[in-house]
Amino acid sequence: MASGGERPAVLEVRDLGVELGIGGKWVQALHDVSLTIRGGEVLGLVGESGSGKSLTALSIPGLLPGNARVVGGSIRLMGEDVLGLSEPQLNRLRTRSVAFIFQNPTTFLNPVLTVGAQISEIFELSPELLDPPGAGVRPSRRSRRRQAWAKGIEYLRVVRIPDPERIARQYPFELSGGMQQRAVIAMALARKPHLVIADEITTALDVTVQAQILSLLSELRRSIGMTLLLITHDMGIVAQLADRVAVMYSGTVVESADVRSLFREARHPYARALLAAVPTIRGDRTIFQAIPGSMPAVSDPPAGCRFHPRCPRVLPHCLAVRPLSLLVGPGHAVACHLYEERAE
Amino acid sequence: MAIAIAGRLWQNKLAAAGLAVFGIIALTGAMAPLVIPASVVRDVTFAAKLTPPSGQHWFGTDDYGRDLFFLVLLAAHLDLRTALFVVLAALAIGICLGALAGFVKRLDEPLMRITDVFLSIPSLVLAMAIASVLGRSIENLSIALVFVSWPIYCRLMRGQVLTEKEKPYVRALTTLGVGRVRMIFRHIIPNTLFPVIARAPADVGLILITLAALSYIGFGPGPYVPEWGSLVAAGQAYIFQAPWLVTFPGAAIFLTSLSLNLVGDWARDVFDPRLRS
Amino acid sequence: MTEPLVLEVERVVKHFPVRRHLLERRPGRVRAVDGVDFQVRAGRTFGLVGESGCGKTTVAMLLVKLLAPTAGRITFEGRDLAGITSRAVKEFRRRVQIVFQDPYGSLDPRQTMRSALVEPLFTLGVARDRARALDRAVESVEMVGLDAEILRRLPHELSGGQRQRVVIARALSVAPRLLILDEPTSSVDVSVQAQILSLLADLKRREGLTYLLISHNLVVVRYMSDVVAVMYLGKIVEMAESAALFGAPLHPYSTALISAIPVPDPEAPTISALARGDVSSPVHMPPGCRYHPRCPFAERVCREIEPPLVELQPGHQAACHFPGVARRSAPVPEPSR
Repeated sequence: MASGGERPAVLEVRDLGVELGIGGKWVQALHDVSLTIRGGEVLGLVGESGSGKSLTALSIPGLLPGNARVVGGSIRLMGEDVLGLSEPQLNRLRTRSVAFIFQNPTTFLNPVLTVGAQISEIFELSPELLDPPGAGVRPSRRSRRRQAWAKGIEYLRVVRIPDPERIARQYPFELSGGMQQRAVIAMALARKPHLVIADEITTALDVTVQAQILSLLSELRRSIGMTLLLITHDMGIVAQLADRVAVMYSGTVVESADVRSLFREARHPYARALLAAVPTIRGDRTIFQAIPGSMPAVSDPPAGCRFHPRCPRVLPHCLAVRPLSLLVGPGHAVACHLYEERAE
Repeated sequence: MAIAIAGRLWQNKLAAAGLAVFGIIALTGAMAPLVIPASVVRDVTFAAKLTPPSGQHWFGTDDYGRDLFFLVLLAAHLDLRTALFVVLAALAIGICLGALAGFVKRLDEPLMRITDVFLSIPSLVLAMAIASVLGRSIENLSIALVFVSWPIYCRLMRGQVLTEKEKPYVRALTTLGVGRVRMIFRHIIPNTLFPVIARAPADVGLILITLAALSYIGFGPGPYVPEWGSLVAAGQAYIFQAPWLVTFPGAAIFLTSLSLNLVGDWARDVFDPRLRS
Repeated sequence: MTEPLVLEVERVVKHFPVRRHLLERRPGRVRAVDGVDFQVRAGRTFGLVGESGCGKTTVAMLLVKLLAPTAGRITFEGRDLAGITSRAVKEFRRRVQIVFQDPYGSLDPRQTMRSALVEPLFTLGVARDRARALDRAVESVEMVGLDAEILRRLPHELSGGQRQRVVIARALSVAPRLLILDEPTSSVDVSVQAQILSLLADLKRREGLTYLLISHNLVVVRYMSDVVAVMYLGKIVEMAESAALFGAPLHPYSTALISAIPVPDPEAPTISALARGDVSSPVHMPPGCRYHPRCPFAERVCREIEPPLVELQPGHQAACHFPGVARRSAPVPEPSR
């Protein structure tokens, strides 16, 4: 997996720090979060609840909740700094460059508009996404609307919604969860964004429907070269879809590598433990290993490395000093004191 | 536990201020009849009417020449006592009937239709109707206001009970052998009471304003009963000549209402274990 | 299979009337459970698998007498559940316990853990005085790997994993014969799931429990169960010993479920989305085989005649006109219009 600078980075997050206001105090929710996604790549951001993966994702298009503030680091999208943007500029960013897909499609879709109306609206508002008219032709409003509708149907077809003409005329509540999520994906893709962020988009779906969505994403990746930041807690999904993986624990990225390297030889004790905790079928036995303890609360983290109370290989140094992320192989970074001497 | 509550109170300065203000008003109300002779109400001196606030009459005098300061203080006693009575009585009736409606399906329909009837009549009209039947003493007005207030609590309680009944822990507890009676009194009611009671402090303010409205349209207890609302209503005629007549009793209603709202919000937050973290 | 029969479910049906809305001429019925038969034997974990709308949670509620069946019979330790009257209900509840899916929801938010654990000991007549009840509570809590200190806490002060353990402790404190687990690990993280699963396996060994496990997570079911039944839209479509079902599934839906699980191994072949479309509505059931609208192998007979659940191999039942087809042939490509 080439990790050189051949394809330009679509997203570059460097040492991002975010604080949350909880109980009247500011607590550090994210610290030293760094990620890179190149064009056409799928980065799987993995972590359990409380690890900070959603928060990280939300900071990219400036969707942080009111009680959160960025306190350090940088986020660059297509080379452009995102943190310094004003609200109208962020709006344009969210419309054109970054598409965010949430876990629950019902809350995202407008319940009083048909699916077709919602997706064609995108084309009506951004006519440059439609096919350009012939020379000298000035499209009337009606023809533009018809074009937008047709384009919308086209996208519904891309996400493999059967009978898209009929579905376009239905309201979101008439569709199942899987169909709704496909419609949302279509709306996300319609804008031809540089980056698509998918936050646990299959968690609320049945497993057979999830399989369909994953298969769809896999195909979209191939056919349109989608750049995707895939957030999930499911290691299986990561193994299936991701090119690269970043594992988060208690607010920071503890390890990042290409997917094969991570699964074959994860270095960070938490990453190893997480992989071992997933029940996998080996022959006729199912094996897994529990991790003792639980993730520390945001408001009361342990000193030094946040994983040290649960780490099977803890060193005295770990209790005092937070480890920094270091490269231990091409494209493979780990934040752990165990690898400090061997770092390149 | 008391220390913890006191600690939380200190943290929320607004609620502390509210409690302090209400405390002062309540204390005033409690002490007023002991310190101020009731005869003040009948102390009509037309010569001294409508004098502005001065060293002699701190709040000025009204159109009967009575000292407004004493009137307002006496009214504090009456108003607080009345409002408290109304709210507590309405709560008691509303909660009992609401719980009944929530638990006994056969009583739900009839009880809801009865509350519908009460709620469909504008509160002032209803109070007027009852007052005209019973008479316009402050006691009868209180009863009228209880009639006006109980349906909302009934509805609220019923809604809470219905929701709570369906919650998963009720199912779980049933499988653990908890019978209906125990479920109702030990689990469902304690969890449903607080959202209903949380409304009460705000409603005290509403009652005071309704009393004022009744006085305004002539259904009040009359000029010889010291009541903030009727003072405001009476003073309205002189609002440009003697603005103090409206200002001081009005401020009293406002401060009482506001402070109770603040305390009510805070109390609800403190006593709900879910919101505690 | 000489283990004693703990639970027997015979032709159980549960229909819910759907409140009619103005546009419907006839009120529909949600056929949540539409004729289910199975047996649970002592010490052999029974796994019930299915996705949303398959009826597995309804089955759970029927088994603990939170609902009564519309038709059919449920027998526990030889006694018909329908015949258990008010006095005997407590005894029944002591012997069949259930752990629900949402551990936070299963606890009264105002109750301390001590109260939550002690209460059932009294209501089910397990303990007679406070001292003994408290001892038993401490014992149960320690049995699930928690510290007795947790008894002082309220539900919102505990983590998801702790709550789940407390709820398990509560169920076990009355020493039941059968423990029904409804999605025990679905609302917790992977690492906590691993802890809970280890705990459950451990407890089964130590306390000789019989489990009925309900889950949509096939890997968890496979790990814990001896016998597995797959449900779809209110019926069991396949039932067999765990190894047989996962090794050689006969019903296309079972195959779809098994292959739908993303394997945490980047080298493994990509999953094939075998089931098409979404689960049908339990109110308007498709004719013939319930699964046919989603089945890539459906033929005409599937659309017309509902296949019965029959024993195709010893101890292995399936309801399909073409059992094993999903493993033999490639699916017909989905029509793209």
